[in-house]
Amino acid sequence: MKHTRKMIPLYTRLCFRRILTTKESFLLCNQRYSQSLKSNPSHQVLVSTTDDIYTNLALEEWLYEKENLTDKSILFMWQNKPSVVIGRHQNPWLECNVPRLRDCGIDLARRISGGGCVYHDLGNLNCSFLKAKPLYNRRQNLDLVVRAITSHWDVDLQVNVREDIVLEGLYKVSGTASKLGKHNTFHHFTLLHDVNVENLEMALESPMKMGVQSKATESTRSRIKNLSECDFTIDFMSLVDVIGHQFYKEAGVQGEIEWINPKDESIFPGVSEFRKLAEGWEWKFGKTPKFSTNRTFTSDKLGTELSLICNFEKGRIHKAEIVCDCSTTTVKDYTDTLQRELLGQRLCREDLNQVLKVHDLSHLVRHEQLVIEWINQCCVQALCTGV
Amino acid sequence: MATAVIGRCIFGQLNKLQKCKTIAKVTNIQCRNISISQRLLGVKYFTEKHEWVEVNGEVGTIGISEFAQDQLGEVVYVQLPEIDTELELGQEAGVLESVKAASEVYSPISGVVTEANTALEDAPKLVNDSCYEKGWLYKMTIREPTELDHLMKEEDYLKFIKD
Repeated sequence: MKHTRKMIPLYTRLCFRRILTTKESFLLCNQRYSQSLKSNPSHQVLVSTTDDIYTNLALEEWLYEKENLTDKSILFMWQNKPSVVIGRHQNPWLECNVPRLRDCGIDLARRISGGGCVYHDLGNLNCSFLKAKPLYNRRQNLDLVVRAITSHWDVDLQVNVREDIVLEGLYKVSGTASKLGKHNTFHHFTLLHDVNVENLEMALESPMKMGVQSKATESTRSRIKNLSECDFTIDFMSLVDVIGHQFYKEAGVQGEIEWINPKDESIFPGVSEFRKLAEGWEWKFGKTPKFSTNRTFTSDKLGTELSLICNFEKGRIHKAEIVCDCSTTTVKDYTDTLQRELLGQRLCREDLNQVLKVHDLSHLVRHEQLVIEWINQCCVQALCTGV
Repeated sequence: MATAVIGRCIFGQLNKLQKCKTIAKVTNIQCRNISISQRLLGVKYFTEKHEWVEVNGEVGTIGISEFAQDQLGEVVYVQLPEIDTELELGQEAGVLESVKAASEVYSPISGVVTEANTALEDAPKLVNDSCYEKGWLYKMTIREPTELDHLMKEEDYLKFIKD
């Protein structure tokens, strides 16, 4: 497929370049970071050596929760292999194509900051500015990045009123979100330099939107463009270099860009616990705000209609109402049993397949067999399409 | 020369009088503002993180202040603690997501959550529009009444945010 051919050379190229850099500096990076911790610099630029979304989000959260930012500001940058990241209060089933992500091996993650759903791959740079609360200023961070890029490349880049970074006045190249705590804050955003647009569109198209009512926060879709389309020399390494040095320059300090291993418990004790939570079903899906689905199915062939209403809480079926206008006792018993068995099931393939499995209906009259099979198919369509 | 000195003294006194009049005028206006705010605020205790707790018998109602909601921007989602959750003073109780950021809410006192404002599920903007009344966040028992002594009364809170 077109996009696969495009992805492989890019992935290999980026990996190769990253390996060259990490080979030079990886052996020293941990030592250097430990040393810099002791010298207590006022500004630090950290770049992750991993492309695993859960590991990177875990380190960001670790820095936010544990690091003393009273006299320090940190710029943490990283890239991920293909992933979809939703905001803290979003509904993954409505924001992206959950079954497709699973089948393609694309990770789904929920971050702790707000905002909308974004697709990441190695053509996207993530920047996170971690600062103490009095210094929290999103505009300042975005302006810094725009200055860094426009001073090195001839691109028309600006920050608009919504605090998006916009290319040529039209295309969004960045999505922003923040988290404010007691003392610490972070402001993070994506920067599209060479993301696979076809994969992005496929990943963010949900098959489960029909008939759904949701309290979750929704994304705002925009037209996008990659920075590399303006200048092919804009890539992960050059952006890290340019933005990292601009960060030090505007702070008026000398500093180096430090490559770090986010899994290193000796430097970040307890970070693996953050990662474990980030990867778990309960966090990714269980934190979904309440929503419901209301579907009606009609079969002219069978002369029957089915109504299915499901309420979901914490990613589980909280209430199910399945009503078929076929009045036989057998069908009524079947829908009652289904309602009972669906209660409390997680909205995931494994749990639903246990309940919506094919039964032995040979002892029933033909019409009842067909109706029950049809009811099952409708339930699969309403619930399983999205999982 | 004496005349000049006397003249300067009189002029100085007149200036002082003028300043006093101006200060009195400004103070008068400020006093009026404070008295109006007091009626709006009711009997509430405030934290430095801009949460408030209103005591009614053994139950405290928790919300965020006018200053906080203004800083937040339009609230789009409210994540509240579950009923029967035990909270310690200063512990994260919930999150307010606005178009600007996801901000943590910290419990001003210790106790157990008895009720959450479910109206905010459909109308999170109540936190902006009516932060002291309809936009309350949750209610809880007051395990340690002495914790209230460390919170600010409304006059002190208003001075605090001015600084």
